Amino acid sequence: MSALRSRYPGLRPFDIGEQDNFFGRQEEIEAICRLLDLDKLIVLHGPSGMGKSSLINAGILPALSQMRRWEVPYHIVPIRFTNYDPEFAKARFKGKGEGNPDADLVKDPIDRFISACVGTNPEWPEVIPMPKESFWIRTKQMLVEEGIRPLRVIFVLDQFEELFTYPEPRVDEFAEQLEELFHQVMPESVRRGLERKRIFDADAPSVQEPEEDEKLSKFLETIEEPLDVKILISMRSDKLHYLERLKPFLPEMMLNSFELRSFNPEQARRAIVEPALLEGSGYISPQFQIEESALNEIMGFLEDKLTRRVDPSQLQIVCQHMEQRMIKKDVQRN
Amino acid sequence: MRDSRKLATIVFADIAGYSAMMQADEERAMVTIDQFEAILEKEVPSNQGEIVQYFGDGALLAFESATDALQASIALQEAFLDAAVPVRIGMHLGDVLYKNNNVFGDGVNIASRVESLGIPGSVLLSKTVRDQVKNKVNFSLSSLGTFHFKNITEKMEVFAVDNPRFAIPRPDQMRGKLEVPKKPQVSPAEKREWERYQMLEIMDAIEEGRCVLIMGHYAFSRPDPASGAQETEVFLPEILQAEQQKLPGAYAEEERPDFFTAAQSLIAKPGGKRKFMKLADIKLNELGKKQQERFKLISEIPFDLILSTYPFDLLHEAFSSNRITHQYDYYSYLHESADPEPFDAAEPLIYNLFGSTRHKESMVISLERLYQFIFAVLGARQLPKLIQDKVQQATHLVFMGTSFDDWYMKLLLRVLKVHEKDISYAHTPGSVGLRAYNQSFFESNFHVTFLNKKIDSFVKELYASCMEEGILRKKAPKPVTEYHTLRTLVSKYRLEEALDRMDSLLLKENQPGRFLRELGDYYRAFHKIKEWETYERYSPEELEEKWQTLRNNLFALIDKVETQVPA
Repeated sequence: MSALRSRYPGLRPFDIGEQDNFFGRQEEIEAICRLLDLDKLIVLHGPSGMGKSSLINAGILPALSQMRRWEVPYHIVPIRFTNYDPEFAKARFKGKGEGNPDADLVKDPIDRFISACVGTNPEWPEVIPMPKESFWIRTKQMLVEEGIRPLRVIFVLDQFEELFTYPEPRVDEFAEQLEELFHQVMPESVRRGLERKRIFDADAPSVQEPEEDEKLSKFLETIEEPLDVKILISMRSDKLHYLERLKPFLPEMMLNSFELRSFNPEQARRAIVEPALLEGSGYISPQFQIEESALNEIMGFLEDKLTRRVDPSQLQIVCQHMEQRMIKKDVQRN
Repeated sequence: MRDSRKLATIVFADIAGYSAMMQADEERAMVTIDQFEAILEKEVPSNQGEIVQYFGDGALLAFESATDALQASIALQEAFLDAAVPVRIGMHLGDVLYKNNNVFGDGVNIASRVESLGIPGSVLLSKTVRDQVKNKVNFSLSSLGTFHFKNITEKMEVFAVDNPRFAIPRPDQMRGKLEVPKKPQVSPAEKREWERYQMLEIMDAIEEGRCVLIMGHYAFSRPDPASGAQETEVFLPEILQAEQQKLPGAYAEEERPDFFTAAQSLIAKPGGKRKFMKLADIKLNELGKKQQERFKLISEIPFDLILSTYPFDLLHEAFSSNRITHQYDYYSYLHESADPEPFDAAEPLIYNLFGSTRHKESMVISLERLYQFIFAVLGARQLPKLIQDKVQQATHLVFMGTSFDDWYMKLLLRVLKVHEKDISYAHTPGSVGLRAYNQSFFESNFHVTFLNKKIDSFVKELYASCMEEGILRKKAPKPVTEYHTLRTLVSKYRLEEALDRMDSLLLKENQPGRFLRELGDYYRAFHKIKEWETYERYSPEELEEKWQTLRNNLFALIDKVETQVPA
């Protein structure tokens, strides 16, 4: 990372790669990793501004990739949903039809999921003739392409509540596809696709580039291999009821959930003190130390008088302000 | 005796052809009438009878006893024969009124009608007289059949004295003299009413399960290729004969062969057997439209039992194609026939009397086999009990396309015990006339009524009557083909369901991949248009256009697939 960054990102969530200055959520990270180890579908929820996205980006994603208890790590695919604005989408799309480059701006959840799998290689040949996109096939393709064996992946779906701003048929379609992902063995739709392929091949053997041919045969070799998919959903607590809509497709939804709460005093202290102590030249501010009395004063200001818990976003605002003052001080000193 | 009613046996005697005799030879005529009167004067009183009246060339006699009357008549006729006087004698026993030296009443009229049936040298008597005398006299009587006399409501059986010297009128001789059904006197309205009643009677019998349909060789025909659109029918025996005559060494046959003769001559020719079997394999759709329609209607008229004298499977095929549940079985003169399952109007039985193409040896297609058939059916291998019972219980038999001129019909009718029926209806096919003597023979001996109708109008009328009565057979529901379902789904805009079903259909073994590829395109188009619709990417009109195109493409694909892939 060439640009200098803040020790405290403020209201913006921590980004992927910012785990070094992310403190105070160790228990939560461990708890969620444990849940993901035990089960396939976990819902992480909390009020807005509680730091769910930060926790995922700077806590869970790095932790998962280093999970000790998994001999072979899971491939991890984070996907962040954005909301749907019909007026905006229509304006973007108007009269341009299919293939409109602007359409990327209004990517719907299904497309988003697919492009997360396909990544930089969207021109994957159609291995199995399917009438519509299949998460199952795309996921498997991705794992084969990345050379991940056994075939295991964790999808981390952040801001999942935005899914429900899309038209209902698309939400249903998404849920249906998600459900197929949990099939360890081949889903019915894929089995039919294979039959199609068999008939096509018998009819007129397809001619492929040798390189693609190799990819294809590699993929087809793994078609019977079990697919191990886990999904971590993160969403706002006040939108949690939307998950009910997915129950017809995913009855195990909400079986395992984790509530993300504000910091307890100990966590808050670490989140304030630790980033300041970090060495290195990557930050906009020099290393500094917060005196005990100052810490107590900040804590006294941030703490909820009743529960003694600290809201993470308030903490970030105060700390970001503190960092700015440190920068000024430093400039004056020099 | 005067002005009183009593039961009496009335005898009519008259000189046959007297007017002609008078014109030809007046003197001889006068001698003859003198002889006639002299014999009467001698024989009647001696047999306790009375000469009531002379009228020209005849006389009316009355007897108190039927036996006396019969004995007197026999004595008279013998005397007349001795004297070569050509006299007909007829008698009847009935209630009469004596008035002013004359007798009146139905009894007199019937006696006169009975006498009119006779020929010179015959002594005829009504059933009433015969019932009185049958155990008292020692000479035999033979029945001439039952007749419907003019102005007499009831039918009456008439007998002839079977004496070597006496004459017995043949059916064709009686015909001219039977004054009875003077058809011109029936107004068209009355005629229609009669026909209507006949039809209703048949229908009632059908409804009660007491009517059996017998299909003859002449119910099966195919259009004459030469007649073009007019569809002149060629009947089976004619077809066989025509084929036979095409072969080298063919000989001209009698003008109108029966089925067995025609079949036999064809089969006897080299290659004729093959030719015959090819003709036998004629399929329903090779028949004329008229014939197909006829079969279709017949299949819905709720006969319990249809006996076919045609050894082919056409009727069975016609029933099946019209989706009528039925059983199909056949008689084999070679083997013991198993009883069919019980049958009724809901599940009728089509029974081939003369075998089936399914078992070629069972087919009665030559005279030799016909003899074997008749021996078997009358002897060791009777028809299955259920069929016998059904025919036995039937009050009506309907013959369709049966040629009563064919000699074996008499035997067949015996097998079916037709003479015991109340009434049987028959129609003769248009191009095949019925010889008059055969008609009267079957009318009088087998109680067959010949309907003066074309086969198709008969079938149509019967069908219409049954329809009015609501007793037509129910067809099995039309099997819905997968393609029909697919089209319905597409037309109801249930496209995804249609696509899925079609996908399953095309995923079966050995289907051409190109259809599946094309379907794949439509599948994707479907999802794309659905997405556009969801996101309102196009105006409703534009979307409708896209949907319409997709539907049209799907309809076209379904059509294409249907012609090439069996569902």
